[in-house]
Amino acid sequence: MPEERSNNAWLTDLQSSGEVQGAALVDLRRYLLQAALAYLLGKRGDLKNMAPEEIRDLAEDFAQEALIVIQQKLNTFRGDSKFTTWAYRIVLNLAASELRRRRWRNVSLDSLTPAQEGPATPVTQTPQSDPEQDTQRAMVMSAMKKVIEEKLTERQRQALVGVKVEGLPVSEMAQRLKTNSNNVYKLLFDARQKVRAELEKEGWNMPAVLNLFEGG
Amino acid sequence: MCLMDRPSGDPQDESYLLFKAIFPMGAECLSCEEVFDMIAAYVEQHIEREALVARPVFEMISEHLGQCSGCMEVFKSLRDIYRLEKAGLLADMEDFLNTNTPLPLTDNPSEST
Ligand SMILES: [Zn+2]
Repeated sequence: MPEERSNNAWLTDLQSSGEVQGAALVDLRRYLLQAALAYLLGKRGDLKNMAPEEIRDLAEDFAQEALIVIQQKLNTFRGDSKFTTWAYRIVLNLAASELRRRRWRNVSLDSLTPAQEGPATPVTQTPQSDPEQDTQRAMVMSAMKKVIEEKLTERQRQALVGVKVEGLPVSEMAQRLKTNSNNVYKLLFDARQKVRAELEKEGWNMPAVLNLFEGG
Repeated sequence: MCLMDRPSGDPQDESYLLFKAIFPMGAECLSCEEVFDMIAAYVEQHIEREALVARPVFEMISEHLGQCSGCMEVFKSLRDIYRLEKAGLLADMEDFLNTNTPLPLTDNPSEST
C-alpha cells in the first residue's frame, strides 16, 4: 500500500502538477482499485460467471472512472472525514450503480411478477373529505404555524421557511445566514424537533396528527 | 419520523410545505445526494463512535438509510471497506480474489445504523 497521506497532503499533491501530482494519482488509483475489488468480492453472488481476471478488469474500470470524478470534485471535499473514505464512496457508488444495471439487464420482462418489479411507487391517497377531520387539520396547521412563529429562533425559522417552503438550496441558505451547509442542516433538524416537541406539549399526539393527514 | 407513502398535497401550498418540513416524507428528509455528500463522515462516526462527535444531521441520515436501499447499500459497502482498511486488509484484496477466500466481514451487533 502507498504511504499514508494526510488530507491536506492529498489535496495539495492532487492539485499540484508534474511528478508530485502523478504520484498522488497513482496512489489514489491503487486505493480505489482495492476498494472496488473489496466491493466486488463482497458481491461474488452477482458475479458467479466471472473469472478473477474479469473481476479485476471491472475493478480497474471503476477505479479509473472514479479517479476522473474525484479530480473534478476535489473542491467539494470539506475535510470532515478521511480523504480516502470520501473517495471510496465515489468508486462504490459507481460500482453499485453498474451492478444494479447488470442485475436488471439480466431480468427478462416476462419473468417479472408484480412482487419483483423493483421499488414500489409510493401510493398517493387523497384524504377523505370529512368535515371534522378538515377542522382538526386546520387546527394542527394553525398550531404548527404559531409554534414556528413564536418558539423557533429567527435563524431556525429563516432556514425552515427558506429551504423547505421557498425551496432555496441549502448552500444558498448557508450563504444568506453567513454559515456553512452543515449548520443549516442542524438548524432544520433543531427546528423540526422543536416544533414537534411543542406540539406534543400542547397535547397533540404525533401519530394521531400524522393519521389525520394520511386520511387514516 | 420520516414516513413513506404519505399523501401528496399541492406542492405550491405553504401549509403543505410546512407540514412536510416538520414531518418529512420518505427520502425527502434528506435527499440521496445530501446523504451521499455526508456518508463518509457518517461511516467514520458509526465505526469510531467515541472518538468522533456525532452531528444531529447523522440522525437524519440514519432515518434516510432505513428507507432507501440505494443509500443503504453504499453505506454498508463503505462501512465494510473502512473496516477492512482499519484491519490492514484492504491491500490484500488481490489475494482474496485469487484464492477465492471470503472477506472477513461480520456484522458487529454493537453497531447500528
Ligand atoms: Zn437515498
